[in-house]
Amino acid sequence: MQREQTQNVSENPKVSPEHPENPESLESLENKEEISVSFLLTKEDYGAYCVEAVKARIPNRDRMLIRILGAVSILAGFMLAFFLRESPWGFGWTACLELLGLVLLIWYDFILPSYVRASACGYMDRHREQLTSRNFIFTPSRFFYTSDGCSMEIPYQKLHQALESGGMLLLYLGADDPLYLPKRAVSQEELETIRSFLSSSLNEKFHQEGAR
Amino acid sequence: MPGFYEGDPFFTGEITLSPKDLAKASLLAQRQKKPASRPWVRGGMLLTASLLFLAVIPYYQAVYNEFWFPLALCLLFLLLAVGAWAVLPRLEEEEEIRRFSTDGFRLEPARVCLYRDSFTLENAFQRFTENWVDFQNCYESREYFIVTGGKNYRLLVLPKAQLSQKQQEEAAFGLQQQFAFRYKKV
Repeated sequence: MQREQTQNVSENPKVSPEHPENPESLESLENKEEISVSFLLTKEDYGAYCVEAVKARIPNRDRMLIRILGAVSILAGFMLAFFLRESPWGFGWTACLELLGLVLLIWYDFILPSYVRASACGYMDRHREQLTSRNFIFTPSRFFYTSDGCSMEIPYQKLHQALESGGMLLLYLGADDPLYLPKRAVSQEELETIRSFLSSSLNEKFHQEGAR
Repeated sequence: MPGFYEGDPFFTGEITLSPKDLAKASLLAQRQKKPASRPWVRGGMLLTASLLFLAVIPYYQAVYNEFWFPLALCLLFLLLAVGAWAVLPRLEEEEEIRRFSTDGFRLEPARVCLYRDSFTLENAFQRFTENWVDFQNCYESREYFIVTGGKNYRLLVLPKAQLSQKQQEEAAFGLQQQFAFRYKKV
């Protein structure tokens, strides 16, 4: 998928002259290494972001607990099938336990992500006006973000955390308030540079889970 | 003038929100949107269930010659009703305060300008321009003006304690003009 050309942030009509993203401050960044990213949000991006955001909110121990319960339910079903093999209700109880165990096992890996993705895409189908372009400019100490009706200049140290998953880079302004950058919008070299910016500023607050 | 219409803002103010302000405003907006989440509604439903089990005791005793099971359920639901009324709202508020404490940008001093068709909010790091058409509801309580919805800035809270009487009147009048039947005093 081709990456859109970066638009000049200073020409963005939403940015006021008093805002830090004025031409004078941008010119001072030209001598430093910076990465400019611009992309048009799609509903698939939004769906992927929602899935990653939901996964990030679930602690690992809860996921393991549900998977263990699923495995226990399946084993209990087999045991019940053995002990109730003479009972007419044995097959029903066994089937219920096996089905419950299967649902619990695949809940966090297939069922929940599918539901979240479908809900998110449905939401964007009803709110297509939100599928607008987003712009990031990453510098060694901070990043700039502009979208329709919003512009920010955020030092990395002010971030709550950053999370890199398989297809998304999430930058959390607060515990439940992330900005997201689809990795399809950046090249591999640019991604490495952004990673270096984030890891040097955030240290342990930058998590990489399943990153490619 | 960030909006389509010309003219000056009908309200301009400087606000600094605390996690407690945001938590109280967020919970108030949620409870207005979902009446079943209100403490007295939840407590009332659980109290009703408790009374139902209490009413079942004579029948249960007549059939099974004992009454401990429905009595235990009655007391359990009574306890849950007390918890839903007195304990759960406090826990919810603490959870919301913890959540909003992590978002340093919302707690920054900000300048808010309300226009006829939009508003702007600007702090040291961010600038938002939102149109009223993207917001669903507006609530006025004793302590806050709360506007819910939006694309980027999802919960606009104006604490009355930080506004003068004139600013409060300007905000109330302007927001009532914009939201009409969706403006609610709670």
